[in-house]
Amino acid sequence: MRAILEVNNLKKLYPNKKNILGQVKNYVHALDEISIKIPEGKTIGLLGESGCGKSTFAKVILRLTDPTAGKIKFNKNEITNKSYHQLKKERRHCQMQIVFQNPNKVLSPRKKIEFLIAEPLLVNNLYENIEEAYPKILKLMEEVNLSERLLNRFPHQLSGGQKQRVCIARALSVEPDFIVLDEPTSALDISVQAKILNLLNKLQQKKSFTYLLITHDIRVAEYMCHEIAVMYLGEIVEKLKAKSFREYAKHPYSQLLIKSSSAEYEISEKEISCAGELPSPIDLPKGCRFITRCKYAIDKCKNVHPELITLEDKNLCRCHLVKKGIRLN
Amino acid sequence: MEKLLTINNLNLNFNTFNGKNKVLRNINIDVNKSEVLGIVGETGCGKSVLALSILGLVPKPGKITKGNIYFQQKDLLKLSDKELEEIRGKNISLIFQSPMSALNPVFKVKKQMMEVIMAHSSMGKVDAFKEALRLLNLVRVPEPESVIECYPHELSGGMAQRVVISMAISSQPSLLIADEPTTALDVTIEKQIIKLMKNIKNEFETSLIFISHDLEVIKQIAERVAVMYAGNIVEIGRCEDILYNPLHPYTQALIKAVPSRIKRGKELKGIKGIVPELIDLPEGCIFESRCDRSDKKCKIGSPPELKKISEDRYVACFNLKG
Repeated sequence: MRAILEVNNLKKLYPNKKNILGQVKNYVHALDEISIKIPEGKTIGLLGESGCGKSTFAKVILRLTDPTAGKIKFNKNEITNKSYHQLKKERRHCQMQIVFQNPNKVLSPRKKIEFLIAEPLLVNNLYENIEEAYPKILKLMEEVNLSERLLNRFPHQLSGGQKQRVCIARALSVEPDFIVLDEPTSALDISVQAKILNLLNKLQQKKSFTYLLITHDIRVAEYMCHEIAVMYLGEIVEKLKAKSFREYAKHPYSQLLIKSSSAEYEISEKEISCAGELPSPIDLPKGCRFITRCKYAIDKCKNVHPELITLEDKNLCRCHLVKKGIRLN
Repeated sequence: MEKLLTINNLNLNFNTFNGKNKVLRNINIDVNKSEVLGIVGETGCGKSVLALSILGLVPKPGKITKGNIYFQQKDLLKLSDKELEEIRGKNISLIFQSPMSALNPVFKVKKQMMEVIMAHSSMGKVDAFKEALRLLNLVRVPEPESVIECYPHELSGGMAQRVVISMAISSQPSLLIADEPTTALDVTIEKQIIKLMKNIKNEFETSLIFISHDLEVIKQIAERVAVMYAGNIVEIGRCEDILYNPLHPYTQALIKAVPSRIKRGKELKGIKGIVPELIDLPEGCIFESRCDRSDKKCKIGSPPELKKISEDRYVACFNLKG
């Protein structure tokens, strides 16, 4: 399968504190050595808690911020060091689009829906003005199941689900190959979420899009994705097929996520205390990053940072114990 | 079982320029002693307004037009502001969705906690400080001595929610209302907070009204569940009954819409249409326009009332079979 996006050893550090001379004292490690291939026409899920670097990853691969190190290849072209103008000239940015979590923050409250949908078309000089783009706008509205009546309305007159559809229409307008969905449904109600997920699935079948779905909800990831990558503190700790996620997830962190999201699992008295919070991404633990929350940790975990290893079923996992073949449960 | 809170026929309107927005209509609900009542519903169905109306905190254009709220045999709606103040925070307390906006960002945790404790008891500063530490211990905050000296922005979301919970239980209220207390938190922390609230409920024999939009969360904590839709309660019953054997078409649709692995590759069933405007209500059942089962009798006359189906089970629907 051809990879549409290939990321190698991607790193993103944000400078945190500076000393009196303006030299940087320490960094926030937002992304650390991330390598992932996203095959064409598939949906890859990125699962993790808040603050683990999911959204930073999306921003970096779209070149909305610059990576500190590493390489991003999109459609076999390297785009890591290309300038904004080069990207625009090659129209690379049109081939990658993003749908954000909160449509209220994306849609300008002063513009009408017709303009909001036409905006990406006009910005990219695909059409001269709105009148010319009108047939295209109508087609997009139909694709995302919005009625024409809404074209003359303002965003506040639309419901949450309708606004998210407008955002999807905006992403579709420039005919991308690859769409990043950054928590597209977490601001929506369950019944509306169902409709948006259906729409995304239908569009994928029709136009063979590739999706990167960023989510914190295991149920959504399992429903939508072909593969799920679990992130923790800026690194990928496990990657496996979504179909067998619940059975084959081996990393203690994935297991914790699975347990936390199933209603049947009761946590013990000991687990109630606040131990389960992310350590600061500034002073990272020397060994395994999950060590502060892992109940299986051995001495080796304290000192040696585990590598991402390939297991026999082609799943990836970053854990010393799993590498030794110890089954954690 | 002894009833702690009884709401009879509550109606609440928001008077706007466009007309009366009938946000709550004919709400009948009761909460027993040391029981967890879950309230589920989507955005705008009136769950939070219901919680606020119990405490008499409904914001300005909102007005209760009909009904009674009895708490420990007193009608809360007939009390004066001063008498309500006595009950609010002391006998009934409220936990909000976002802990960060519930805490004041410019004061230390210490000051905010002591303020609450001293308001409801005759404790001095020294005792209140000790009490605050005890409460933080109770909600399993590690190193309470250092947390109590923090400003809210120095705390993580889970920690801040624990502080809010500890403040809410400081006067050992007999009713605790939690309005989406875990929605802003990560799943792993959510689990801890739910367990914590269960412990508190068992320890103090507090009754709990737990409001959430997430059925999975409700499943973990509630004993009885009320499902709300567009200002009405459409179904009440024991938690297992509602979740595994829903009778109202709205509850059924809500459960079907949850994505899961089993539904992979299949289309999810959403609910067609949108919630109707609450200003000019349609005749008949409010869910009629979105319902698969509706027929002639759903379109005319007064809306369906909650009918008793079995012990502890009430459903508001004309077309139960099917």
